[in-house]
Amino acid sequence: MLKIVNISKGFNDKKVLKDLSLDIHDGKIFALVGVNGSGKTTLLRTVAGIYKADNGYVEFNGYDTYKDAEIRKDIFFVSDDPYYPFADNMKSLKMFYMSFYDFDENEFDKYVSLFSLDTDKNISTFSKGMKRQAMLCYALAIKPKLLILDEAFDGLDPMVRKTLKKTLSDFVMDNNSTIIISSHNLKELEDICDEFGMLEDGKISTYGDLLEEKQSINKYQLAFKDEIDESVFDQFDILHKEKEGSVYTLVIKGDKDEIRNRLRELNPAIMDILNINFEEMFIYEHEGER
Amino acid sequence: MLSLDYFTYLFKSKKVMVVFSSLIYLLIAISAADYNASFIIYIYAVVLCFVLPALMFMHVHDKRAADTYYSLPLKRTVILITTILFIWLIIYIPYLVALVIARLRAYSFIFDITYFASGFGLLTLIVVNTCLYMFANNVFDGVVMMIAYEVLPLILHSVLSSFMYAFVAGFSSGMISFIEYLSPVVTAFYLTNCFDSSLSIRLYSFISSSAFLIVFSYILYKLYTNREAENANSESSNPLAYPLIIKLYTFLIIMFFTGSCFDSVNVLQCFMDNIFWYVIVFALFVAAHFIYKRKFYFHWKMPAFYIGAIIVSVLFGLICQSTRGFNLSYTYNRTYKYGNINIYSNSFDYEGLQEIRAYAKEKTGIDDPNIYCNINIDSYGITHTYVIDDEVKDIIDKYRNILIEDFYDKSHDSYRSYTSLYIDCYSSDTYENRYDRNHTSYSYYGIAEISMDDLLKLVSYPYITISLELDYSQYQLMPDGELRLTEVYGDVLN
Repeated sequence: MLKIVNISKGFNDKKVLKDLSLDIHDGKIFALVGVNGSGKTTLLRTVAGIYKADNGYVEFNGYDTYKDAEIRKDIFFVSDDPYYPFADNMKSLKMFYMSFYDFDENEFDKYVSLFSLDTDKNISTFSKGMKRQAMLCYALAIKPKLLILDEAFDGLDPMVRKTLKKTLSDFVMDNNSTIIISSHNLKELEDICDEFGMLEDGKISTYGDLLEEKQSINKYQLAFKDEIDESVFDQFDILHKEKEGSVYTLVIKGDKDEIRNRLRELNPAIMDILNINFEEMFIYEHEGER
Repeated sequence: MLSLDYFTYLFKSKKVMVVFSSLIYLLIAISAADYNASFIIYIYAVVLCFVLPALMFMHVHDKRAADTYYSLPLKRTVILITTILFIWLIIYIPYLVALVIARLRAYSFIFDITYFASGFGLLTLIVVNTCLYMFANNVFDGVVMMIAYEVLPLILHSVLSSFMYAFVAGFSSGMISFIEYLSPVVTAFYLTNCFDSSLSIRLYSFISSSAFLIVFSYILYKLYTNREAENANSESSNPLAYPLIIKLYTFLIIMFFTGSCFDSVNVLQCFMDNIFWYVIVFALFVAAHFIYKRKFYFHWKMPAFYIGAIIVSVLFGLICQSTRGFNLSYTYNRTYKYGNINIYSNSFDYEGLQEIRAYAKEKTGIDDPNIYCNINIDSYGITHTYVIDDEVKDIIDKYRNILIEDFYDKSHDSYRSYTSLYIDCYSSDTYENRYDRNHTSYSYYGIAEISMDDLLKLVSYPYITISLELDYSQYQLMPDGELRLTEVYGDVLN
């Protein structure tokens, strides 16, 4: 289990993470989302033991990820811009990771063929997407208990994204590992993530089970015969409100059945209830916070 | 403390570099001239001690590499020690092989402690350079720090010389030779025995290298283990990096100019003449901040520091002047037993040597206003080493004191006459071992009249020869007071 306890991290005078706490359970795929500059990468690097938190600590299976080097055998961080030593090909870089981790060469070969990568070619000649795939091959061959992927889907074509999603799901199933993924591509995250955390102003503003959270936010479309006083909507936890002619579109947080019953009491001529996706949820939650 | 896996990885991944570097060693060993092959091999090893730490620790200055290295399941101490050991081995082992080949080629193979001592010196140099590289937060600044700090003892030597020459009568560069031991490059050099260093020099070098190794290992350990990944490839704002080195260099350069002014007859005029240089140095000071910040940077503290440094240097100069160079010229050691002492004097400007001129005229009939006198005291004879007598020392001290007084008398033009006194004092009993211990050099310049009575006393000692030069001929003063012609227009007479 990953425990993030009251961590704060700043650069110069700027506080990026502010007293942030979060627990992530084993065997989960956790989506870390937030607007640009919200501190996602800083949080991931702190979790990986790269950055030292100014305050607080990060524990994985009871060990401090910054102080206890040994626990980092179970953690692998794939940066948004991975490092490759000059003139290395995938074979020579394999040697690097084999020196530090319990490296499964068969698994490595399996993923290399899955992503159709040329191990003899200099990595510097790879495209951005191929470099990312190459790093994922190393990451998965190490079979970490905690895999941290920063901007996981960045630069990948739709086919590879699909393959990656399946690979990650299978990986979690087979190894009971935990994956933390940050990405701006929420549609892709939605397909594989169990839990999510929304990072805003250095803190996790919303977090929980993705499915439950999505079910708790719904889009209601209402049409009324006569003009109504909009203050009747004040009783709801509205994240978003729109009016076009006589049709209101409301995004409301709360129990779907209860809200439906209360809206019926307003005598709408028409009422439709629509599900929202993760991206919409992110946008509406973000608007709601503002 | 050491990761064999990581070491193996380093060796395998850098094998091209290792082979290439070793080949250059061998190439030098088999192609360089016999007499300087070991010196060139050493120079190449020193160059590697700068290049390899910069290459092997590049990951601390690269954001992406820092992410990878700091997330590895290895303690930073282990990465540090393993990498240092790797660098040392790939420099030192080929160095040893090349040195043995070079010595075999020169038929001068010996097996002595210098083989190990040079390894120690090179290790110190690697640790020091790696530490200096860590002062910075990017590769360029890291290289600048290595060079700037390694050159610093040289600059310090120049500045100190400038002040000592201005304020200390009888100063010779040997008096500040200890600064050599502040340079890890020089101490490593002495430990290699490239220049047949004496035992005492090697001992001092070993002590100095050991101190460097301990101090810099500790600083390096702290800098590497507490390094923050987010600082990679950013401004080198560590107090030991640009903030200190810019101020140090600026202050030393100002001290150099100030010191040189105090050496001149008209100090104020010299300062006025140097204003241009002070402005240039300030411009360099600002330019150094541009390199540091990578943008134009100006803060009121900069001119304040600069003016403050000038004031401090002038105050220091004034203190030196009023204390006669902290009385350093009086630390003359009279306990020496052996030595080489030379007094040269001429009457070129018609003030000195009037007595000798009259004596020479009486004995030879030649009246030459450009008379030149050389007193040579050399206690190391071919068959016998003499102990210098107290009477001789008394006479030398008398002239030394006259010269010292003259040195601090700024009321006259310093070139109205010219006399120089060079003293090399030794305590060792053989000429070969003269530098081993308690060797001191002094040299004095100024005006002095040399008494004929003193010359006649001095010449009575078997280890003293006195020669006079007049009318394009050289005469030797004999113990009986006669002048014997020994050389005319370059012809030596019997």
